[in-house]
Amino acid sequence: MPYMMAGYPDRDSSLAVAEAYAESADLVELGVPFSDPLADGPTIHAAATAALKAGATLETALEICRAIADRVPVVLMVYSNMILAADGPIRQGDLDVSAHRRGDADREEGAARGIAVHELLEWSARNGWREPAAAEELLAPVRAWLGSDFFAERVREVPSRAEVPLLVEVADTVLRGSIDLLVEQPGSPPLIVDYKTDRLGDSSPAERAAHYAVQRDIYAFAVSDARGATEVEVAYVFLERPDEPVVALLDSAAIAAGRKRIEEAIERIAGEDAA
Amino acid sequence: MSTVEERFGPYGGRYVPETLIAALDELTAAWAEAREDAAFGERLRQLHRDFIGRPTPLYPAERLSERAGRRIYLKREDLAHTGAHKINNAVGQVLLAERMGKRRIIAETGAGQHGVATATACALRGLECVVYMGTEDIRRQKPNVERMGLLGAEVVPVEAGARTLKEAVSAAIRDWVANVATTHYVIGSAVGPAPYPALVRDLQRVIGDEAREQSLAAEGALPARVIACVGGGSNSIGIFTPFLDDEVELIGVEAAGEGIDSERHGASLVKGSAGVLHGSLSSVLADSEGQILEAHSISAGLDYPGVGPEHAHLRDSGRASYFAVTDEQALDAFATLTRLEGIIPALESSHAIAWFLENAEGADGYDVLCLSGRGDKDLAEVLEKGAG
Repeated sequence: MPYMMAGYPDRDSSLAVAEAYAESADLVELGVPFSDPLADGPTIHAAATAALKAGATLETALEICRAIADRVPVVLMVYSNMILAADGPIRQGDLDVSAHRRGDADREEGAARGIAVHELLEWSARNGWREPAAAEELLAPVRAWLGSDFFAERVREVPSRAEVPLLVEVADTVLRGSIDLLVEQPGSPPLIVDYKTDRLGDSSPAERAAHYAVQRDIYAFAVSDARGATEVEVAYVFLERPDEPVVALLDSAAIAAGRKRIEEAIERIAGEDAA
Repeated sequence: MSTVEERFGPYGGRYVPETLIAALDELTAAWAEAREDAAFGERLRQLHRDFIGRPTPLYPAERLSERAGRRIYLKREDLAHTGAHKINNAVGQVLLAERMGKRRIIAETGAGQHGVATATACALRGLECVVYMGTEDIRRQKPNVERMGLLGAEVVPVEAGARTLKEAVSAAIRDWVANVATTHYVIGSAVGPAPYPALVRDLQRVIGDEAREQSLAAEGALPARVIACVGGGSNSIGIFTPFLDDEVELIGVEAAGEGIDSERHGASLVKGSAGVLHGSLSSVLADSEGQILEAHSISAGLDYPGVGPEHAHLRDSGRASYFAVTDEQALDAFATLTRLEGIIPALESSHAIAWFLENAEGADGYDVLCLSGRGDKDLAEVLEKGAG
């Protein structure tokens, strides 16, 4: 997964570098040159300065991206000031360069494997280089979910989105997070699926789910707020026992009551901070 | 416990590498606690009095008033130890670092005033001090580099970009990312990620607290206007803060460099647009793609393409007004104050004087102007331009 600075040392040379990477890399991280890259070291700073001096712009980076994006996934590294200056997120059309990845299952699987391997290596490094007993353990819950009745009946054939960002304001506090899976079928309430990797031991999924009551309140409120939905369904799927999902259908009264609980929880936490 | 602000309207925030968030949280908590701790406050007041020489005088500048046709008092930060208001912040943050158990201090500096102030505070407390400085600034500000060396600080040259203040800040932040467990970063102005803008303001508001009390004692009424120069904006936010709820006009003066319509100025509030620089959202000088532009001013302290986020908010809300004056106007004001009052002002402060001289109509009330530093450091620059 090589990194390169777009436009360094000049447009043509960096395009040639990108072409070479496209032949063999699993993924190319493409730096968009920025004048003040404070999250990077002196080398990248110097490369960005040189690229800008040679006339590089955002368009140079996007041009290089477009040139190779049909052959290799490209991840842009960009500083927020450039996005703000572009008047909001970079124009949608520019982002479509990554669209080829949808449906390119082999590459997506490769990327997912890459991320999982890195996380295991990070875990190992932090744990005296112990070998994670992972392969089977990782795959088993995925297989269990894909083989479950709930998945077959409620998810497989219905449009859904994974890792949906969540941003909601309650009691002057902004809550951030993401939803594992949001299933939206016209005519039905939105269904929020949250995977749980807890080890259940002696408890049942329903008992365990009680620990996540506030999380359910937040999900339900966030999705009903964003979608204008009066009803929302939340499913906690414990991957040890995916055939026993804990599903709750919340109506507007339940969502409002949940919101009240969130506010109380925030006030309680704020109160503890002040004490 | 009162909150240390993270945002000022939409401005401020923390646009930094994830590794720094824990340190910024720690700093926020430490400051929220320290500023309400009586013993810490007493220690700081004692150093203000015995080490820095506070309170600094509020001086009625009679001949300047006569020339302008309007009465003006100068808040004499040039008489603070090391010759500028920078020491207020440096001493406060070094005490805070000690309280947090951090014994290595880093700082950035442009003209060298903040570097000298930080090196001074570190010598006072026996802490290790590393100052990042662009090689172009090292060339221009040799005496301050030598002062820092004498005070026991290590000056690290920064080669990146234009080799000035902007790059020195980035280098200091990089050092902090790498050494965050042992190191405190003493930022020099009311800029940077939260809590720095609030922290620096709190440590500089002593200027305004004193000036407000001294004004009332001298005149029995508050001034009509409070005027200060704005680079990053620490002396100005320091003197503005205690007057925010009063019926007092607040005037900030930026550097118009070679002209506000030229490409060579430092007027981030007058001419800038919303953008992110050095960890916060504020008003910055940037091109249409968001690349930060080089600022320009004859005064190294105003030669910065960003500004503290609270100023951007005060501008938008209309509570403070911001103007810009050119290098030439500042040089004239430098000469005027020197000859009329026997005070050689810093070129930064000369910008505020210049604005006052050109906007002195109207006889009601009187003004207070923050004379943020003395001008010895600028003599070479001024003599080279043939002024004075």
